[in-house]
Amino acid sequence: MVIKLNMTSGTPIYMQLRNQIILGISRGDLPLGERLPTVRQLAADTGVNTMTVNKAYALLKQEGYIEIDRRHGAKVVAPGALEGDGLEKLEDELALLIAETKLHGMDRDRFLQLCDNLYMGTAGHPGEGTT
Amino acid sequence: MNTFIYLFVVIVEVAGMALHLGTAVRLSGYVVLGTTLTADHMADAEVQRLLGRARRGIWLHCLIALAASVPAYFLRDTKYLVPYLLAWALLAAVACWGIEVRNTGQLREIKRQRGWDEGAPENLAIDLKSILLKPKMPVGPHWMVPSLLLSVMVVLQSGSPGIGDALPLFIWLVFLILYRIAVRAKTQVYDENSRINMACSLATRRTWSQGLVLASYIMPVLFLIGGLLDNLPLGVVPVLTTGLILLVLILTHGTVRKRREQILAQGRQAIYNEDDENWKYGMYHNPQDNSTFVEKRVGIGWTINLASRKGKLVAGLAILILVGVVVMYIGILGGGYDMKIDGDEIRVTGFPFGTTFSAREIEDITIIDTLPKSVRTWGYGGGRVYMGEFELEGYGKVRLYAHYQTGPFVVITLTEGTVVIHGESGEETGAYYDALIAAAG
Repeated sequence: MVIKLNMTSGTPIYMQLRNQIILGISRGDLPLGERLPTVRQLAADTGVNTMTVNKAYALLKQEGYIEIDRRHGAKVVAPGALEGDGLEKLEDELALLIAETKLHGMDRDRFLQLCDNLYMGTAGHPGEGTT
Repeated sequence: MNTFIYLFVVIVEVAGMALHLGTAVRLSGYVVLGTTLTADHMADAEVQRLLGRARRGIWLHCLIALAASVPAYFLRDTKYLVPYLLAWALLAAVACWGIEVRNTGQLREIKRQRGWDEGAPENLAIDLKSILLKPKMPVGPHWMVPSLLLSVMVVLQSGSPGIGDALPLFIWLVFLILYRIAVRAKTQVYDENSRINMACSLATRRTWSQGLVLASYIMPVLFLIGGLLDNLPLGVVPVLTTGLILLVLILTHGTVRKRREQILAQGRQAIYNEDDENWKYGMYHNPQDNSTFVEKRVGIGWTINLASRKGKLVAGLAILILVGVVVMYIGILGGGYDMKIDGDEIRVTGFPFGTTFSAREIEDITIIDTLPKSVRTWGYGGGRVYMGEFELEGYGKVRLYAHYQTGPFVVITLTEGTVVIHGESGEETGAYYDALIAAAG
């Protein structure tokens, strides 16, 4: 799976890395159980700071997308169902997105259609996709 | 001997420049003339015209360099030949660099005028699978253990090992460092398809590791064979070693490039690494990249990232070594050498190749009128003095201290090794001889 980082973007590198890995998992490019390079391997090979990669991996682990093993590196795992704080965070982010969409004059049907298209586009469930 | 030095320097320099500039005009990994170009942009008429001009420029540069080297052929005195060849090689290399910078500048100007450098914000692509499989791609470093043992055997083969005998060990270390750079180099991402990237990474790492392992065997094997065969003409082993090592490295580079282009031809969704702005004047400077070494865009091998901390250290060290060598040569040229006898101890001073031996070690002292054919193994030869370890026909390895190649010379045979010394005049050589005879009793 190929990840593209924009070094001049306002989004921090660790967040770009985290986002792209999540997108890869959802598309099925990174199936369940797929190994990821270790923090050191990834940092050494890309020239990105070790702390940056570590931060991205720590975030992915905290959010339940990967497991980190000291000897074997990281591995993609199935995240648990959204509940509690996770669900609350999703509701907050969605509320903001819906507000922005409404302010830009997009109607409900178009918004839902767009959501549906994007959901289907990234619809591969972990473990079902191809690399 | 002068013709031999002339031919060796000229062939290595001209072939090196032709090869270096030749790599620039050939598309490799979507890069030509040190600039990232897409397949469509390569087909542009103006780009093709520029490449044609650049190719003709290489031939012209090499021909001019060859013509400028011709006067050196007629210089019979090493005193003039060596400085001439040094100045010629330096000027030719600077001109070669100037041609590379000019051609790159012209192509980047075309790219800028056409707006090809716009809209490429994704400037770092990572292929997770290629990185994961990277450690399994090269041949293992254990293949270099036999060449290390052979290098140690070269030292042991010599009855009285000197610094020159340790040269294979030093070169082995250089190849080990190059091997580590080759296997650890960043994984390049050329296509959206991971299989293409993995195949390119495998071809690059496997071929380079094989080539460097093979190159590490050349010097110790040839030195060992040279040590066993007494009737080999002088200079054959060093020239053959240099030639074979260069040949292996050139063939390795060519194979890597060819395999990579064959693999990339099968790609459908190319990713262009737009980092031209990090390559200026042929040098790499990228503060956002922590890598110390990166693959060269023009030429063979790797170069330093001048923006990284380690890169700056390596560059500083290289400059220090260069300055050190220049200072050492100035010291040699200015200081010369002298022989002093203090009781039983005979000391030949001569920075940094001085030697000390006891009068009791002297087995024989003779005078010879002419110096046999010699090859320097570790020392300085040219200008005002010849100092250091030399391979002398009929004498083997000797410590030589001479002002010119005309005699007479005092040959001191010691229990271990031989020292040959020569005064600036016949009287001084005679005085050395008398003093040595008196000391030896």
